[in-house]
Amino acid sequence: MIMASADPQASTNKHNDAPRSLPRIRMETITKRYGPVVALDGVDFELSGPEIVGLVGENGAGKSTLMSILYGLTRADSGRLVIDEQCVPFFSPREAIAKGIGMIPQRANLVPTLSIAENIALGSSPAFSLAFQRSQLERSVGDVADQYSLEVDPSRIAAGLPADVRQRVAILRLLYRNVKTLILDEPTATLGDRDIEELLAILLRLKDSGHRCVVITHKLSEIVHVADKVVVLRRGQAVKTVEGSAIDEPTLIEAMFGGEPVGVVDRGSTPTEGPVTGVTFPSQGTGIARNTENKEFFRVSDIRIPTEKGAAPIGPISFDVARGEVFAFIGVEGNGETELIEVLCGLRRISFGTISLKDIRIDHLGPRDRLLRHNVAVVTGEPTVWDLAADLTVTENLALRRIAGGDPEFVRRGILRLESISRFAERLVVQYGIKPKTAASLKAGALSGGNQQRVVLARELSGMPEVLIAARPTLGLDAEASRFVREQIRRLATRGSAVVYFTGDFDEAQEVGDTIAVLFRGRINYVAQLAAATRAEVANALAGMSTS
Amino acid sequence: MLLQPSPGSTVDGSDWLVRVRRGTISSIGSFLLALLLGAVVFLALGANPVSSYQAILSGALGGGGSLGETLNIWTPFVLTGLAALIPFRAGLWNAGGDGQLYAGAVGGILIGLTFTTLPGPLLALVIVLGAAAAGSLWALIPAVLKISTGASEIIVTLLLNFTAVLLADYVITGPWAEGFSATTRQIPSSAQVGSWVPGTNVGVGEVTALICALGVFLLIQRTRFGFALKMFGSNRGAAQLAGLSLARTTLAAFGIGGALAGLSGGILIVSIHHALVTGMSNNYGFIGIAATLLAGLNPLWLLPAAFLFSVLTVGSNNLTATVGIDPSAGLIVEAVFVVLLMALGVLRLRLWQGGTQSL
Repeated sequence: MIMASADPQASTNKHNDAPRSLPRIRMETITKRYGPVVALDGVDFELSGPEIVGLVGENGAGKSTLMSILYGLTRADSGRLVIDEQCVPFFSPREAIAKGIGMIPQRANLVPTLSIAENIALGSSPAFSLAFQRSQLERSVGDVADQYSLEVDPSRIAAGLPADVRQRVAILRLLYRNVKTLILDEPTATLGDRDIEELLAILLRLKDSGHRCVVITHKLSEIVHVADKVVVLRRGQAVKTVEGSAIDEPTLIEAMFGGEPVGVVDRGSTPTEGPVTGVTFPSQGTGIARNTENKEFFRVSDIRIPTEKGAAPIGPISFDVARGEVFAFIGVEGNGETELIEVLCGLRRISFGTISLKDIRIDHLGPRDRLLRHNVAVVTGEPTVWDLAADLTVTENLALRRIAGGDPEFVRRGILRLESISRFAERLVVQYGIKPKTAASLKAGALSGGNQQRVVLARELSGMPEVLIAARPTLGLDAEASRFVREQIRRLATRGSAVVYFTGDFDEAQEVGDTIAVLFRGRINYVAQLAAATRAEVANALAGMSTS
Repeated sequence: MLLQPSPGSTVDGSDWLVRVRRGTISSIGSFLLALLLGAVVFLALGANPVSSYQAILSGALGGGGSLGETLNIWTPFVLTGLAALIPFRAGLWNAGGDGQLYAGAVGGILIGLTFTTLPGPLLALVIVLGAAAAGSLWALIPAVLKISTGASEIIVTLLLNFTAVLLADYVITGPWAEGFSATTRQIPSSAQVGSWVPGTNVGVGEVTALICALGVFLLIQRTRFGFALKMFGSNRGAAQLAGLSLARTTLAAFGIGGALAGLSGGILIVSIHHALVTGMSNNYGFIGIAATLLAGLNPLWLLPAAFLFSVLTVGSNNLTATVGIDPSAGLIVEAVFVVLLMALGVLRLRLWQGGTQSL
């Protein structure tokens, strides 16, 4: 039992022993559901010798869930855990550590007022020994750090440590507990380029000393050079395992983004039926075809986005979206997509360039003015985070935009007109097929993910936005719900809105987009009309190989 | 700072709120538990728990004007409770009900001692309105600091309590002092509002508290402002993305809340004390917060919740005479109750967090 090592010296001695043999770990047919969403669908995962294993996939593919099941943070709905050919019950985190399995979360939290050494020993030594054996503790932590060439100063107070040091401390914390299987969840997310290289070097050294590292990431370029094996998850399934010299970016990207088509949306320009009807706003004419006159309707011109220190700068980025056009970005996360979305919504400032709608600059405006004055709407893939108030009713959520905007049909002199509001909500519930039928009076948080997204769409699209920013709106939705979302957004475009659509999926981009663009390392490195875009070209662009 | 509706913090910020509001029913459970623990306290002090509780009840609800006294204290509990409740609904803390009450009382007494030539009823009205305005201004200080610098409204409201008490002490001992007693001169007797129930002080205050609670209920349910409150309380990022203004909502929440707390200070002056006296608020503001939490942030439930605290507070004075123990035993029951309520809230939080490990 490692927790019991009250004497720090004792644990150091363990590290001088020959590395104990790594257990063979096999996870079999792991399934995990969150409500109607299948996060993991019968995934097999295996770890054998000392190795670096990449676990890659888009946001929501199930990477973190799979590993937190192994570490015992999350309980699987079904599946088996086999250690050295013996079927064992799933671990608790404490048991996992005892078995030499440890996980470093995305944000490694340290107690800011304690020293690095104390942070590392925290929980493994009794508190009084922390206080009375400080120098001894610092020495033993220093020894472990030296052993793996991890550069830290054990006596330093943890407050204000840079991200790379915090990460080394988190790694040390596991090594100090004799952990042999280290799981790192998006370890590079907060690191600059140089720190990333340093981290990869540490991982290689750990492998040489008999450890095993599982790296959860969506940044492929980092993992391909060091990994012995890469497992690709897509929509909760392990779709591909690549080993050794076969690991290269195009192969992985193909696996991450490829696959069977997701269902076809009716592209016919017959917006005569279907929910997208301007419920209170006048319809803007039907079936506005894309044409050159309005090509510059929504224009993003030469913008640069400042980023956190150390990260690569984003931009310059330029693109135009016409009325009736869906401009679809495909991207591997971490290439500037999140920042660009925030900029388009007005949540983040740009340092250079302009964003304009109908030749009026809007880049200096916050989300409130963009919405109320220019009717720029936003739909995200995380409704309960960005779009919905989970503990208010569906009715209140549906009416949000109208009430916020002071629409006289819904508010008069500050007083809510409850009857119009509930009529409006009831109508949208029917039009957008929000289930259950009594949804209007339910709390938004009580609905399924797909229905929550329907609520958001109903609210945003019924306002007939000039521009819609759709930020991975189908994230976590099942096939039918996600098809509905794309269909609605297509219809909106047909009615004359400009849509900027972000997705991680080629098929989805192909289905919804008129124009397809790829964001790579903060720049657009591929743009093509739908008809001209091919999967191979897009895959190359995603991997950073420019074709033009 | 208006441009950073960090999603993570938004969710964190509203979770406790949801739980507090769902907590009404289990509040009853913790109330019973508190009564039980209170019984243990009485036993430990050598008193019979049953007769102790009887003493509290008869002391609070029995004859001899005690019910009137209970109702008198109920008024500031309700009003300061509402002062906390409104910002609470938006996920903001107003821990400064006491200070706002004092600020209101100071404003009220200054008006009352200055414009002595006004006709009585009009002066009474002006005192009460002036008190509300003063309480409102006092509460706007933390709101403005919150908006402009991001200063924690909990800390600022809390600290301004001390400032307000010192301000009141200055007024009491300073130019407006009545001899060497711990009180200012009285307002003109024509402006002193008499009781509506003979033999008690019950009247204008209780009616005002009732009307205000009802008003706040309608404000939250039926107005755009109330909608914004709830929206910010539930999901700050979504509210901002939808174009609601956090700054305006914060200002209005504290402005209205402070006005209600200040109003209670004004009412204490025109209908109870007729002057500004030291120790005028016996932690009314804090008991108001406890009552608001007990009521699950519902202004109508606040009425009985505040009454419960009034009964405990007033009834405890009867403990010495009846069962021979110190009145503070009743306050212990009150305190146990508040602690239990909070602890259960935290416990639910833990269980909830443990139950939903997400992606």
